[in-house]
Amino acid sequence: MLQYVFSPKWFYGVDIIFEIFSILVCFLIAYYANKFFKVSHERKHRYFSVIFLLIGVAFIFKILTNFTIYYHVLRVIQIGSTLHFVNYQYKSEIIYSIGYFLFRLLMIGAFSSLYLITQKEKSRNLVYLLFYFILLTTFFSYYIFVVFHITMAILLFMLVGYYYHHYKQKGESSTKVIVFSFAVLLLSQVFFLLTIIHLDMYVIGEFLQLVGYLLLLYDFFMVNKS
Amino acid sequence: MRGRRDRAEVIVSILEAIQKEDNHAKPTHIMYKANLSYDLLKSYLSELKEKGIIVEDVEGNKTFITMTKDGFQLLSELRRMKRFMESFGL
Repeated sequence: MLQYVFSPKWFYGVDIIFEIFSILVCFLIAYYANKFFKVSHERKHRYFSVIFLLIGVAFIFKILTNFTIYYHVLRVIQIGSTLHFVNYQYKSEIIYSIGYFLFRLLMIGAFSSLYLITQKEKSRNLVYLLFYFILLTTFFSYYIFVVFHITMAILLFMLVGYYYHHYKQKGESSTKVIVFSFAVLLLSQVFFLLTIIHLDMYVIGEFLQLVGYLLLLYDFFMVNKS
Repeated sequence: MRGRRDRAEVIVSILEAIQKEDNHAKPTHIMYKANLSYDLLKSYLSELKEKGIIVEDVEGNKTFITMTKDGFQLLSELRRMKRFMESFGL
């Protein structure tokens, strides 16, 4: 049987609200980047827009998965019948598998692409290799949960490194916010991993993830205010 | 060395060149300030004129370029957008 609820019961639904905020931030950035692409006609700006759109869509899949699972789990507890439990369990496993698969695929795909577009030298082999790892981590991993969050942490670590280097070169305060934002997102992945030890770590992970995306929003407003 | 400029950067340099001349710039001045060839400048100016970002004033045998209200708005929006994208290293 799959373990598909990583959240403490009291947090059911709150994580969905947190993620709705993250979706709004991602869609806002995607819209803004697409607006800029219409003037710049630079592919990297379009990719950037699509990347944030994908992150937002990934969260939608996670919300739909969680929403259905929480609903079923709560109903199962309420009904308490063995027959119903088996039925809901089966349905929930299918929903979980598809929804969580799409969430993983889009998230890893989006963050890998974000790392790729920041690199000046893009080797075709690197792109293929990355694509292979995306498939490997989304399709063939036995310990899906662990491998997904480790992969996300590695990607975010590389992005934090890149943005820190970029900040050192430019010294722009807006880039400093981006560094913090991605560092907080990296930390959130560490806490998601620790969910294996204690379910409450999921709450900290979700909270940090929300802070990470809110920092991106703060950067957006900071730049637009100036 | 700095790489190739994208369209947004070229448009910003054109609009900044106009702004620096108290919103009354000769095309040749824009050409030098924005570091563009004559043909490229001509195509950009015609596009900007079509979109209502700039207007052409003919005074005697001289042509001057002026930014409209939309032009000023576009310039400040492009600067902000550019800064936001640059904060992501793009």
